[in-house]
Amino acid sequence: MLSRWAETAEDAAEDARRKAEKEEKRRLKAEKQKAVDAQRAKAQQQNGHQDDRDTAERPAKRRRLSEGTSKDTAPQAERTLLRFNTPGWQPCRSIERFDLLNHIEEGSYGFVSRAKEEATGEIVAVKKLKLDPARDGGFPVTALREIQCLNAAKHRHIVDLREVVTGEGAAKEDVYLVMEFVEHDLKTLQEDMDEPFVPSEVKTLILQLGSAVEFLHDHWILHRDLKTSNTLMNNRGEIKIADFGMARYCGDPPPNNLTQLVVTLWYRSTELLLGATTYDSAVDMWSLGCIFGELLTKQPLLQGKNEVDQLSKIFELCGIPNEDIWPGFKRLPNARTLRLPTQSKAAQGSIIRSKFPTLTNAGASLLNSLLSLNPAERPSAKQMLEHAYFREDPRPKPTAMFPTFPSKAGQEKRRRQVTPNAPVRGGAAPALGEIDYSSIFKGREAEEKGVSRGGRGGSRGGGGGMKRNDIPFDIDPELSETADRGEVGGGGKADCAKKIWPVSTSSAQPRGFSTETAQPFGEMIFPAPITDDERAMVAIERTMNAQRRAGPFWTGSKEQWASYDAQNNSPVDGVFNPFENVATYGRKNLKRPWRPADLSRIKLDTRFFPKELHAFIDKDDGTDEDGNPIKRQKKLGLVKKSVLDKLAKFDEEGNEDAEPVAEDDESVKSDKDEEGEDFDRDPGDTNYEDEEDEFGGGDYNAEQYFDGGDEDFDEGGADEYADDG
Amino acid sequence: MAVITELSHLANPLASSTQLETSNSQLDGVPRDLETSIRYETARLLQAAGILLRLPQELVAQSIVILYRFWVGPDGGSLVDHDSTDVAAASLYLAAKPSAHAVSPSQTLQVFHYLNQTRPDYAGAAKQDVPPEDIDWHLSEGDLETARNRLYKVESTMLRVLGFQTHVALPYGLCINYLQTLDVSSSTAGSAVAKRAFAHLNTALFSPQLLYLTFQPSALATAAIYLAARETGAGLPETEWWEVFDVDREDLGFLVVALTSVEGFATEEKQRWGQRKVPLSVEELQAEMERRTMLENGQ
Repeated sequence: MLSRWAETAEDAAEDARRKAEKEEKRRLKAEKQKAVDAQRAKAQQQNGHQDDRDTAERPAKRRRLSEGTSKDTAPQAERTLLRFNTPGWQPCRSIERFDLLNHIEEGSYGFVSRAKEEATGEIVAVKKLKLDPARDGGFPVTALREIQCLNAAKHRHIVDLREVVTGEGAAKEDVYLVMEFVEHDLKTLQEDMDEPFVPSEVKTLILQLGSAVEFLHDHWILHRDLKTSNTLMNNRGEIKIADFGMARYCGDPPPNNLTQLVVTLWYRSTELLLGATTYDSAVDMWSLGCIFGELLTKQPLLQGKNEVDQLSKIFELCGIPNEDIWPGFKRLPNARTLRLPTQSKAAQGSIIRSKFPTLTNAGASLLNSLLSLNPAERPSAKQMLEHAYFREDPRPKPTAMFPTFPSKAGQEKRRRQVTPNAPVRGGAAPALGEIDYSSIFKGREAEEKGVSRGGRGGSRGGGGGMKRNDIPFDIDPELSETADRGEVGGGGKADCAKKIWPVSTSSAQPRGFSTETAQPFGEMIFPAPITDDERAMVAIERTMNAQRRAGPFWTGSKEQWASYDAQNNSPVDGVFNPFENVATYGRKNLKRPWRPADLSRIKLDTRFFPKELHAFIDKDDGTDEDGNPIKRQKKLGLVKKSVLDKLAKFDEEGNEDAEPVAEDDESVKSDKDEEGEDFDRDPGDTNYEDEEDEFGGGDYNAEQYFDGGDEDFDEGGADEYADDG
Repeated sequence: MAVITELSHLANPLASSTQLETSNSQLDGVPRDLETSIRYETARLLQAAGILLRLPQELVAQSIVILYRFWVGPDGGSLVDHDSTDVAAASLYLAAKPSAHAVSPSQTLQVFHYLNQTRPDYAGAAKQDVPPEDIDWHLSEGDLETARNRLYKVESTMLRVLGFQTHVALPYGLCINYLQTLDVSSSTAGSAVAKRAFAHLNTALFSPQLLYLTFQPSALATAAIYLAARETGAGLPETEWWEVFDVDREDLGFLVVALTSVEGFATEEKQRWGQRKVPLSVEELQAEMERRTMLENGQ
């Protein structure tokens, strides 16, 4: 027969029969139609409104043009065909459309940088290819394959190649791959993590990786270089496979002249190590197994120094191959020279189960199957995704629940542990040199001012000048600039909290924080997850340590201080150290709260202040040098709005009759009462009354701030705070 | 309605209407018919080179498609800027490079050098196993070096102009698939139909209508099968079977006409140029254009 559809005698007979049948049907139908038409014509003549009927009873089928020859076809449903709407091509755009931001890494293939597209402001990763036409034979085949594979592999978990751009002018030959920017790669991330990923996270990561690998294999692409450093992860916990420099298309059966020099050694499978030139998607599955093991322990699973060492490490972990578990492996090129140890029962078999004691049985079986010596034994990506391991508890963690990390590629830094090491007792105080620490007193200066604003004259201090001191913290210039100078007395501690900024955190970010979300405060990267109190504690602790290290902070002998202390009836035994007081207060193990007024009694030696600060100290009319009212609101919006309101009110009422605003507040009143008892004021101080008022106001504010901080800050009611970010 | 927006083994990037409207060469003053002739000539050159290099037909087809893509559109390459033999060599080199049948630059260049000597009778040259003695097909070391550098340069220009779009999906595999679906391949006429269909697909590569740049592989395969079945007398379903393969009647009709018209186009070209050489280098092209203007002015 010619074809299934060709005409035969039977077909002809059948056709004739069918034709006759059809003819008969058609005749009958035509007769019927005629009868109907005649009837209609009759009715039409009778009624005389043809138009109405025409619109009302439109024939469902198309009107036949010629009745005799038309075929009787049933109305056909509209058939929908698959349409193609593929992108075209256009010449490469220029790299000039991108602003390079920072360098990410350099590899043998090229340089990767972070860049911003000028038109859209989108952040992308730009990979500049290293080109050497004479060496590579024109455009390198690896890059060509990478571009082709990435273009073909559009998948959620595969890095998106947006376009390829070229250089301009003299650098016309330069080629850049513009890809989506992904914050982390798993390798660097793991190096920075203290603990490996938890099992639920590992499951999610492996599932995502598996889905990408499944997609690739489904599209006949072998990645051939899967490893943690090629596995990117964004801040939403999503995995993206990158670096397709080794990738290539393959077929089934696989081509037989593939290079065995693929896959980074630690992730290279047994058949590659044994020199197979025909291999398939199983090489990627082996790499996946290595990544799985690495994610569980945070350490690369098989770190061989060279091919031989790698093989021995594999055999150590997975057992020794034999003809039973891997038929035909002896025929592989490198297997001929392989001298395997005499097989005892003990040496045989895998020790994966015992090497991963915390892994469930299902997990161990998955890892075992991925790390099968025999490539045919390894599951396909699809089979892997269906493995029971992913269905048992703990369930894979939703990507949204993943912790975020500071991105190295995005030049975010991990916050270093801010708590300094305890100073070594008896050690020599560090040489100090010419370090300007005047800024530390910027905060103090505000307190000082608050006091003097209250009309208090030269407050007496413990001593004259002070020594230069090494301080391990820096004061953020921006913050101290905008410190609310007007905040009375009690602002001192708050200032302390806000201005004294641990050096290491000033440009740092803690875990759980990305640049994107860190930006509401403008240029400042603000470690928001730390509460204000915590920060104050850190700052204070650092100050104290600095003092301890540097020896006496205040001039004046111990005796002088002791006498001062006695006069002031300090609750702290021994030397009065205002900072220590602050700290103890903060720790809440001191009954009597620290009163900022105590601090203000100390006369600072202003000789060490920069000149411009004298202006602040001397002036106390609530305006700055230019006569503008000093802005009270804190830049970062950390002060409770109610406090600010009260401050404003306090300001309006003037300094003379300044009253604590919340008269009805019991605690404030009792505080004030206490104050009278606790404070044994210097009888020589003529401005006693003013001082009292001032202290009250100051105290109140301080209390309010810190008490509020304890309760409200935890509730996180951001709208309660002055919104001046 | 299902729409395929991603490139795959089913889908090719197609030339836009702007790209088909004009070309950089035409903007540079090359007459349209001359451009068509050159394009046809270089396609033939590539086909012959592919045979001599023992490359699979898929790679030849890919290189021809890449070559066409380069020439098409106002942003494409211009015949005035590049020797079309260089571009042809680069497209073959580029197509073969990532495949399992990579050829070395010197192989490519030698073959093109040899074919350049034998033109316009590429078919004859491709059939001979041993080059005739009277032809100097050998490239000297120095020539090879310069040619190689030129090849790399043209290659990078091509990639830039194509925006690195070297993805070419071909209808050959689909064609076999469709024949199997139609249950034709198992019949006695099967191999004849397949052969004829493949011949049509190869022919389509030479079409001046740039069929591979304007139709998706599925349409090309369907049209080739339709024509092949008609020519070999193999029966096909009487219904609109092409719709199963997502080709509508209009496309099919157009493609059938286009495929059958290539023969006439080829004969016409042969008659027009006779033993004259189609200008394949920039100098030759400019000489040809001058000749034409002189002829026009003389008349």
